[in-house]
Amino acid sequence: MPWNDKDLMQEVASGNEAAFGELYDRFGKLVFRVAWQFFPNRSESEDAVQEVFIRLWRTADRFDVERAKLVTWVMLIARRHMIDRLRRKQTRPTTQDYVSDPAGGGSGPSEDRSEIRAELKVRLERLSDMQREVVTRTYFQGFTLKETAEQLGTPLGTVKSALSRALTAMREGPEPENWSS
Amino acid sequence: MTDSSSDSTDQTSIEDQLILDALGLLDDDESLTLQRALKALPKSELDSALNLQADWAANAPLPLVSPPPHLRSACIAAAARAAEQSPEQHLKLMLSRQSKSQRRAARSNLIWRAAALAMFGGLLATVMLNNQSLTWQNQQARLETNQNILDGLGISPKINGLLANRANDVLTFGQSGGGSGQLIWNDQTGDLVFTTRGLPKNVASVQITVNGRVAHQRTFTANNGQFQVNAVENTTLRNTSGQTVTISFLDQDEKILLTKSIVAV
Repeated sequence: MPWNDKDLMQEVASGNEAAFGELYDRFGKLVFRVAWQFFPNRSESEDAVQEVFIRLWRTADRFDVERAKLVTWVMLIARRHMIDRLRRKQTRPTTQDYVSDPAGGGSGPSEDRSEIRAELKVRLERLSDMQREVVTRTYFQGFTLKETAEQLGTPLGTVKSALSRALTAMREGPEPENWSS
Repeated sequence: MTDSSSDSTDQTSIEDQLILDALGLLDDDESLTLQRALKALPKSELDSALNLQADWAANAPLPLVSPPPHLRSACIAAAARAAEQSPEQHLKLMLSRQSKSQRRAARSNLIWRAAALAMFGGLLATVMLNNQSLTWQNQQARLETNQNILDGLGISPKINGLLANRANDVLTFGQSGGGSGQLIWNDQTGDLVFTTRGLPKNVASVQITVNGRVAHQRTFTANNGQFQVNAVENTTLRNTSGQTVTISFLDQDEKILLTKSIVAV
C-alpha cells in the first residue's frame, strides 16, 4: 500500500530504501523535467536529479504536511537546487532548449514536440512585452525575481504580478495537455 | 518596453505569491513571509491555498522529457553512498533537530544517542576503509556485505531509523554504579531499541512492561559493562500514551537490579 505524504517522508528520513524508491517513482519525472529546463543535456540533468534526491533525503524530516503538499515541497527543493547549481555554472539555458529531448525518450514523436514548441512560441508571443521578458528571465533562465526587477528597472511587485499572470495565461491557453504528465 | 496589461500594478495578490512560491520562484525570505501569512488563515482557506500550490507544482510548464530508466537506481545508489560517506553527519543532523523538537528530553538522551552514533559511525568507517578500492559495479555487493556485517552486530537500518525518528518515545534510566541506558520505541509499530552501559555482570534478563503487563522480555548478558545496543521489532510496546512504561533488568532469580518507569506522553 503506498504511503501517505507524511509517512513517506518519515520513512525516507529514517533511511528506508523502499520509501526512497517510492519517492523517486512519484517525483522522478517531475524533478528530471525541472533539471532539463535548467541543464538541457543528459549527463548534467542526471547529476542534478541525483543531487536533488540526496537533498530530499537529507531534509525529509523537515517536511511538514501542514505547510505544504509533498509535490510543492519537492518542486521547491528541486528548483532552488537548480538555481544554486546554475549560479555555480554561470551559464543560462534558453527557451530553445525547452522541448528538446535527451535521447528520444520524450512523451511523443518528434512532430508532436515540434507542435508543442510552436504552441509555446505562440503563447509567449501572446504575452505583453513585460510578461514575456519576466517569464523568460525568471522561469526559463533562472534569474531571481529581484535580479529581474533590477535588470528591468521595475518594482519587484510588478515583476511578481507580471510573472504570475503570465504563467496563468500560458497555462490556461488551448491544448496545454502535454506540458506535463 | 511597453506593458499595456493589468500587471503594471505593484499590488501582488496572495494567489500570485502562492503560484510563485509553488514554482520555487520566491526568495527564501519571501517564502517564509508567505508561510507566516498562511498560518494565520482559517483551516479551509489554508487547505485551499495548499491545494492551489500543489496543482501548480504538479502541472508546472516543463520540458517534455522523460528520465532514463537507469536514473532510479542511480539515485538510490547515490543516496546510499551519501549515507555511507557521512553517516555521522546525517545522524547528528537528525539528532540535533530531534533535540529541538523534544525539549523535554534530558541531556543524557543526546549523550546516549551520540554514543550509539559514534559506534555506528565507527563500524561503518571500518567497513568503508576495507572497501575503498572497489568499483561502482561492486557497490551493490559491497552494500550487502556491509549490511550483513552490521546486521550481525545488531546495528541495522532499523536501529538507525529508531534512533533518528523524532516521533519516537524515550525512557532514560540509570543509577549510580548500577548502569544506565535508554529505551527508544516506535509507539505505532512496537519496534524498540535499548542501549545500555555499565550494567552489573549478574544481569540475566531485561523486561519491559506497560502498566505492569509484559510487552517484551528476553535473556540479556551484560557485556562486561560495555556499551551495547539491542533492537527488537514488532513487540506489544505500542499505544502507550498515558500508560506507565517500565524497563527492568533482572538477575537469575528475577530480582530487580535496575528499573525505571515513565508515563508515556
